[in-house]
Amino acid sequence: MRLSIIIIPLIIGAITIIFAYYYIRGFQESIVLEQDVSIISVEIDRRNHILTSVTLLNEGEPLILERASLVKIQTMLTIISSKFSTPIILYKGNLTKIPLAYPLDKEGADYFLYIFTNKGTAIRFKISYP
Amino acid sequence: MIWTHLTATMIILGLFGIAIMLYSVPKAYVIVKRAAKASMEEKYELEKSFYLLSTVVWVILITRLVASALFWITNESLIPIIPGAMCQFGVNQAGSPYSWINNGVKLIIVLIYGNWLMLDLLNRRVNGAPLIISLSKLFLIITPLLFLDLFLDLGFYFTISPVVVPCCRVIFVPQIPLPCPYCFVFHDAPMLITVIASYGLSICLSIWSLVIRHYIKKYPEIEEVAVNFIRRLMVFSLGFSILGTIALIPAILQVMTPIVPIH
Repeated sequence: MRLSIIIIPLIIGAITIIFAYYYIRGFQESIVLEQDVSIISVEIDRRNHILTSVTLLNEGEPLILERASLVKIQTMLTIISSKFSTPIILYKGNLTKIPLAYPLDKEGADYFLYIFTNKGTAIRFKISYP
Repeated sequence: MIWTHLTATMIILGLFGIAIMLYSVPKAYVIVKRAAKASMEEKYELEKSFYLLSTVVWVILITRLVASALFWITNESLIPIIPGAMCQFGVNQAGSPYSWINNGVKLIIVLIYGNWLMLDLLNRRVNGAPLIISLSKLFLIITPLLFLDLFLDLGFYFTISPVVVPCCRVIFVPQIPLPCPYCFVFHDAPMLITVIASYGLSICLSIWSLVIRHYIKKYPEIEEVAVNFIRRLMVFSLGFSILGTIALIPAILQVMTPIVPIH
C-alpha cells in the first residue's frame, strides 16, 4: 500500500481545519462596527454563569437590531448566536435594555458580544468573566 | 501538591514505572552485553530472560501509554482547583517547568514506545526471535526518555499547588492570530480530539511500518512475517486516516457553527 494514500487525507484534513478557522476569523474581522453606540452595562447572573442583559445607549442615527452573538476571544469561536423574536429599535439618546440568556464559561474567559443591525453592521463589547 | 483521585493515580503509575524500570534496565543491559559472545546454552538462557524482560517492558510501556492519556484528563480535572486557570494552559503554568516539557514528551511517547511494542510483537511471530539483541538495545536507548517521562510526571504532580496563575487570556488576545490550543481543542471544538488522535495514530502506524522495513534490510530472515505485518499496520493506518477524515466533518461544523444551538 502506498504511503501517499494515507498522507493525502492527513494533509487535506490539516488544511481544511486551518482554512475553516481562518475563514471564520476573517469573517469576524470584516464586521463593520457601529461607532455611535456604546454598551452602558451588562448584567450577569454569577450564580448560574449567565449573561442576562445588556443596556445600550445610541448617540447616532436610529438603528434596528436583529441578532446577537457571543464570541470567545481565546479561540475566536462563536459560543452562542440568537435572533431577537422581534427587531429592537435603538432610538437616538435612549437607553435600551436587551434581554439575553447567554451561558458563560464558569472557569472564566474573555468574550466579544456582537449585536448585529439590519444593515449588517455590529455593536461590539468586550466582556471579561469572572 | 494537590491530591485528587487522578493525581494520586498518576503518582502511583509514576512510582510503579520507576520500580519496574529499575528491574528491567539491568536485565536488558545483561542481554546486550552477553548475547554477542554467548554459547548455544547461554543463548537459550538469554532468550528465556528476554521473554521475561519483554513481558515486563510491555507492562511498563502500556502503563506509560495509559498515563499519557490520563495526563490530559487529570490536567483538565485540575482547572477548577487552580485559581485563575481557565483551561489546561493555567494548569501548566501552575506546574511549570515540568508541565510544559511533559506536554511535549507526552506527544511523542506513543510513537516511540509503540515502535518498541510493534517490533516485539513481530519478534514473537518469527522463529528464533532474531530481534532479541536489537530490542534490548532499543529499550536501553529509550530508557532516558522513559526516565524523563516518569521524572516529569512525578515532578509535576508532586509540585503542583493551587496558586493563582495567569491563564491563556494573557497571551491569546484578539491581536494574536492563533487560538489557545487547550481552549480550542478541549473546550470549544472537542471533536478535534478524535481527529487529532486518529491522524496521530495513522502517522505512528506509518512510521512503525517504515522502521520495520528498515529492520527487514538488517534481518532478512524476518521478511516473510514482516511483510504481512507491515501490510496490517498500513491497513490500520489507512483506517485511522479515514476515521480522522470522517470525524473532521463534525469537527469543522463545531468550529463553524455556534457551540450552543441557535434559538
